Amino acid sequence: MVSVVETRRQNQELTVGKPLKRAEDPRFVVGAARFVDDIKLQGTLYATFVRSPYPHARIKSIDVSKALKSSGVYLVLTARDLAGKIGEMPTVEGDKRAKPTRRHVLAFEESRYEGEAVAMVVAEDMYVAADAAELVEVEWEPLPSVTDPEKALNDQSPVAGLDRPDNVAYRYTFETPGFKDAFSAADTVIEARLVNQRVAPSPMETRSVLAVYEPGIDLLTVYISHQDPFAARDAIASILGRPKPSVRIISPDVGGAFGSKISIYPEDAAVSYAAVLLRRPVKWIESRRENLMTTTHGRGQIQLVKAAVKKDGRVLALDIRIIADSGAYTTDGSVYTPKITPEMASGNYDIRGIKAELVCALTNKVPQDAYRGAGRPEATFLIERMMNLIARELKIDPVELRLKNFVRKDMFPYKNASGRFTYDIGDYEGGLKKATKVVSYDRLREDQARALSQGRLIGVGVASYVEVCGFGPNYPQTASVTVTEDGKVIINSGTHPHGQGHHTPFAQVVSDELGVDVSDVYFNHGDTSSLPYGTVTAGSRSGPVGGSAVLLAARKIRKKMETVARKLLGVDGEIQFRDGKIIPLMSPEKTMTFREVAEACYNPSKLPQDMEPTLYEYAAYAPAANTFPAGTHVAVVEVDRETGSVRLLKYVAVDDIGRVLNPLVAEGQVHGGVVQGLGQALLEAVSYGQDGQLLTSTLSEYLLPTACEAPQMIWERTETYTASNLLGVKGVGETGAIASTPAVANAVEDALFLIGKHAESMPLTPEYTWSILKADPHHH
Amino acid sequence: MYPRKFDYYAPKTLSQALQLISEKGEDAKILAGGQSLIPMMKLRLASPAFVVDLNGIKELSYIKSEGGTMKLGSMTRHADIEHSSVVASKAPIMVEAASQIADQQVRNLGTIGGSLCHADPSADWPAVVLALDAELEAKGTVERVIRSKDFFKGPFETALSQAEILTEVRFRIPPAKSGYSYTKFERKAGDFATVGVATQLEMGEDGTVSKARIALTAAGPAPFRAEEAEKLITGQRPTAELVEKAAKAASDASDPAPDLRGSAEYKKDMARVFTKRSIRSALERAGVSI
Ligand SMILES: Cc1cc2nc3c(=O)[nH]c(=O)nc-3n(C[C@H](O)[C@H](O)[C@H](O)COP(=O)(O)OP(=O)(O)OC[C@H]3O[C@@H](n4cnc5c(N)ncnc54)[C@H](O)[C@@H]3O)c2cc1C
Repeated sequence: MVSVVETRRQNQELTVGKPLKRAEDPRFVVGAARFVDDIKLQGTLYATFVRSPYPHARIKSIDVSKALKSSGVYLVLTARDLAGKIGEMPTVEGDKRAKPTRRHVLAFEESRYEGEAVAMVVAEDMYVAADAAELVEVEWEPLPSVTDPEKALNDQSPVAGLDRPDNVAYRYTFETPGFKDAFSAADTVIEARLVNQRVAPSPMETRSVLAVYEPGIDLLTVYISHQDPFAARDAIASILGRPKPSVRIISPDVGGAFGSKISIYPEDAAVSYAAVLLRRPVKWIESRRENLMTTTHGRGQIQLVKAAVKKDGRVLALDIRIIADSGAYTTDGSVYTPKITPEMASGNYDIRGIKAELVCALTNKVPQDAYRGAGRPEATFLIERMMNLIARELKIDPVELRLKNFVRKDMFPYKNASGRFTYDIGDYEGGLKKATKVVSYDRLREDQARALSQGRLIGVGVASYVEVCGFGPNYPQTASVTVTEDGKVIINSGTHPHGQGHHTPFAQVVSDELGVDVSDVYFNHGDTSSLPYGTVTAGSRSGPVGGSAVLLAARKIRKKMETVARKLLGVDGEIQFRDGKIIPLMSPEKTMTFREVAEACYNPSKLPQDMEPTLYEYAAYAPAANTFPAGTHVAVVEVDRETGSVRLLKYVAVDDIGRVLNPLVAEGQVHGGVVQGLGQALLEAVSYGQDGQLLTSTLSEYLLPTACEAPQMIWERTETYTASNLLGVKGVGETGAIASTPAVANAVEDALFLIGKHAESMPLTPEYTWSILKADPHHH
Repeated sequence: MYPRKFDYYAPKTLSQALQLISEKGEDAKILAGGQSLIPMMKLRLASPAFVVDLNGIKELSYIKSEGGTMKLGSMTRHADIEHSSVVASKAPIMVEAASQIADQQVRNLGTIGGSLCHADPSADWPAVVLALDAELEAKGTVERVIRSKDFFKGPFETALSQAEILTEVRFRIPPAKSGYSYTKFERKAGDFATVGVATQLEMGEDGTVSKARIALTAAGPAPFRAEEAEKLITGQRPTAELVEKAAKAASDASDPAPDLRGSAEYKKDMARVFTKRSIRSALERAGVSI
């Protein structure tokens, strides 16, 4: 089975699986973390950007002369200054169906969304920079704009970008062979229009860049708040036309990303260029307003669904049309994220036929990208909201309906309806049954009926999910393990943590392999000069793929130390690594300490012939396949009939994330995700006015859930171990955010069902719910 | 998010502060807790040339109960009021309101005087001082006392002139047989009110309401006393029906502006719902069940 288990000795107590506290938490809690803005370099200059106040406009001219004359201003750049000096922003790659758009680092002639940067000012401090930015005179010619992706696809719509008159970034369609037969065998077809609104990822730390150029060695070092340092290096090198080795990326502590720091942004390139030009460090720290306006948004889909069902509740086929809101430019993230949605839209169910059309519409808004779950939350939302409606329509209990349609335990490996993904293993029924038991589902239904007789509306929302994580095998993750002469261990990780808490679970993996204490394992990340390669932290792949790379590197260390120990001790046979000791099982009296063997590895005279001294190993791991975490979440809410407010009464999450490296860290991930997902269900929406102006540009307009809105979550697990990676781990970074949005939305709708109503869009704000309640003529 | 340039003054006494603002005129702004002024300066929505900081003036920060009157210095922080045992026993409505303003960080700095002078149409303190029928003391070239009823003129507009500083909030301590409630409807913890209703009731020996003051915030261009509603219940033995009627009257008197918190129609209905809830809770606290 899973090989990590094989390498362990019977009597060794495992560290993996223990709820150890996260090593990095103290520094975050006391404010001692090291974010980009904490890095102070002598001679640093500060950048600020002049941004478009219009959703769409022609830039007729830009006069920077007054700004340039201000004392303390070092540089003012516009697109004209960059022409021929640096390249353009990356558009889309790899898929012929995607229609590229041209995007300049600073908007050239046309700006396509409010907040798009048109000029950069670099000055001795932020105050001077901000004053000078006000002196940049831009002559605008506002152009017609479109922010609604459905309207953007009408023939009469204004164009979002002059180079793509049809407003289409991507069109993707498929129909499975059995679709027509399956669809026509239905007793009834249930239709719905579901709106999954645009939301802002809103990391605590906004985007931040500090670029430093050292001319003597021609090295550009970019400190950047990012989730994929190697890709950042490649993108900056490419835009600036530099060889990759001449760019070094350091992503130190990063205060959250959620998908919004996967790509490189125009500001990153402009700041890097300015540092090279000026030969001075240049820093730019994004304001919250800029973050809400110019950092990628997520979700943003309108889903038109027809479900073909049998009277008994069997779901036969789905006919789906999805309009995704790409924003102003075609980017990898804005088209490949929604592409996953139709491919995963059959969820946990054995639905055989699927026909799908995805159209990504260009609009005058900041481009969308991945957001915690990236395409799968939208898929889960689609199918789980449909299951709620189907259950209602057929008068079948939503739990029953799910049990009737689940992919059964004996059906794995199971190729899903789209044929694009093969679920390797799972137990969907087990998860759902556990969730209903923990939440006392039957009693809840009784409570609900009793409350209704008193005029109160209680709703119970169920959402099952299966998602896809790991994202291999063409996407290896890397790690190195070093053992220093004093017997301490350093992990260098290709996967970058920004809230996930990599350090402790990875240290636990190493601890079990090498028998060292977890506190002796140090953790480094985010520096492209310290590993040959690395890939993105996304798709919950750090555990399954990054963790496996750590294990591989640790195994190589172990193998070398075993060889050295055998030579030093003159023993054969099995050797155990435990409690900081290296113990030959046949002659335990010859035990050496881990440190002694580590020291020996640095001394060529003690090593076997041909063995290289020092103790460092690198590993790159490409998983055999993706993983498929799954589970069921149940939310219980009460809807205030007078105000429409929703109060969350209870939340139960049951997840199968495979082997759990550290249950405390895993639960934290689920809890955070659940809160983020319920934020979308109840509070969050990026909104634009009639004129295309962003209305939610501060956190008093854009409502994020806080600790006060977080539910008391009960977390339980079921476990099936995947063979797709070395650890049997499936991934846990996104499950909470995937399941909680539909669970909470279904709960609110379940309450509305009691009075014969249903909900179409989110967030389910008090006024929206109130308007649904009020529109109902048959109040009980 | 960087303000324009300004000169900063930190007077140690009230008279120095008064002198500074009269000298500097229109271009001067008083800085109290800074929780409204500084965000506006950072967004460059306000760009005073001179900032006169009151934080060094000790004489403006106090909570006193003297001969049946409660007195609060204008620089008293929201958090000081929230945690004051004197306020808790003499005017618990203030504790209830303070604890619902913003979050702890904002409450640690924001002041009651700053909130009243800023006169955000959705702020909490204005409704509370109206329900307490407080008097506001201001000093400029002369000293004057303004009734809270006459203080709020419109959105971000008060009866104060530019050369005046609000120095004290004072009111008669409500008698023993009274009920109070500050009922705030917010979208999430720390949010400004969608609607807020402050109710202060006094009960007569005969079980009728002898005095009623009901004030609403976020329900119009300025906070206001719902006088129709007050009249409806004053002198009456409270019933559920009467409370409903009063709530309706308060709603009719409201004139909320539509924004992301809700349409005018929704807010008007919430003015009704929360006036009802506020009166009911005040009655309950006065020991009256309906
Ligand atoms: C995140 C956040 C959330 C908030 N939520 C709420 C909320 O839920 N409810 C609520 O009521 N408020 C809320 N506020 C506002 C907060 O209560 C402020 O503290 C208050 O409005 C202003 O008080 P201040 O002492 O900070 O005044 P400042 O910001 O210092 O000043 C405000 C204005 O009043 C003037 N001023 C101040 N003191 C005097 C004086 N003594 N005499 C004459 N003029 C004076 C200033 O010149 C300025 O124009 C919030 C603020 C923030 C930042």
